[in-house]
Amino acid sequence: MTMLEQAEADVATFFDPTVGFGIAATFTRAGEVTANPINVSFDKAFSKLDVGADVETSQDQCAFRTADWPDCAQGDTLTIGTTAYTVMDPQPDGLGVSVCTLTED
Amino acid sequence: MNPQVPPVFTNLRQRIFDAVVEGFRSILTANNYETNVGANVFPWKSDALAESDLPGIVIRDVGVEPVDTSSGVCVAYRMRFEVALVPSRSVDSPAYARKIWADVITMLGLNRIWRDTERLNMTTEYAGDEMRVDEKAGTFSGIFIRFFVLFKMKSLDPYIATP
Repeated sequence: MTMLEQAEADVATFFDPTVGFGIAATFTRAGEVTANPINVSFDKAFSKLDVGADVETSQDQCAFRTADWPDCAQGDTLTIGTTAYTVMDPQPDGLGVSVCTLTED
Repeated sequence: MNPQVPPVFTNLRQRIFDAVVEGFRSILTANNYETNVGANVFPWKSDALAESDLPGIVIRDVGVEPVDTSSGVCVAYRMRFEVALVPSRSVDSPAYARKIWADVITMLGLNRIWRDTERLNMTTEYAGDEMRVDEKAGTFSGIFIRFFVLFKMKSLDPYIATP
């Protein structure tokens, strides 16, 4: 097993809801209806924007094992509990983890 | 205490600012406008708008400059306003910002000569705007507009407006 393969295997533990930082969610690819289960870590960081006046909001994003959702794309949907988010900006790091920004529009 | 001014007088700049704020607060669907943005008007809000403040308007009177000093007695001035029109977060936010803009232009047109309890005798000049959209945390937009209110007052007397 290469180090990359070992790292990808270890990442699954990080996102495990019982022993890691993950929570259970589902994702749906754009244009499809099938909801696929996935474990993600979810962040709701403070964000301040300037649109003529300063506006305080939050920057929602999630991280997950790339192998669980390798074709994550803008326009896909992630559902956590009863809240649905649209994927804005998928960012795979090449080492087994992907981060994507979300919008609750 | 200024011995020249009876304490009941309000300076002209404050009267103009208050009249403009009241004009923005009149932008309600009950007054036949398209939006209800007049419910959230913030004069000189020093901290950031929360999402619960949106759609909202932030109004600032950023300065006064003389326009015509030729008479020496009655001087014409321009009071410069900068206003941020910010709708709620939504994929339709830019379109809603344009509706707010249209309501504001309508209101400025209806109030070409601003009035308070006494006639203030001011006129309005629109000075343009910029639209900004930010999609990093959902779709937020805003239109930053500038306009001038022209008025005349006795030279170096901030309490008396002149026609």
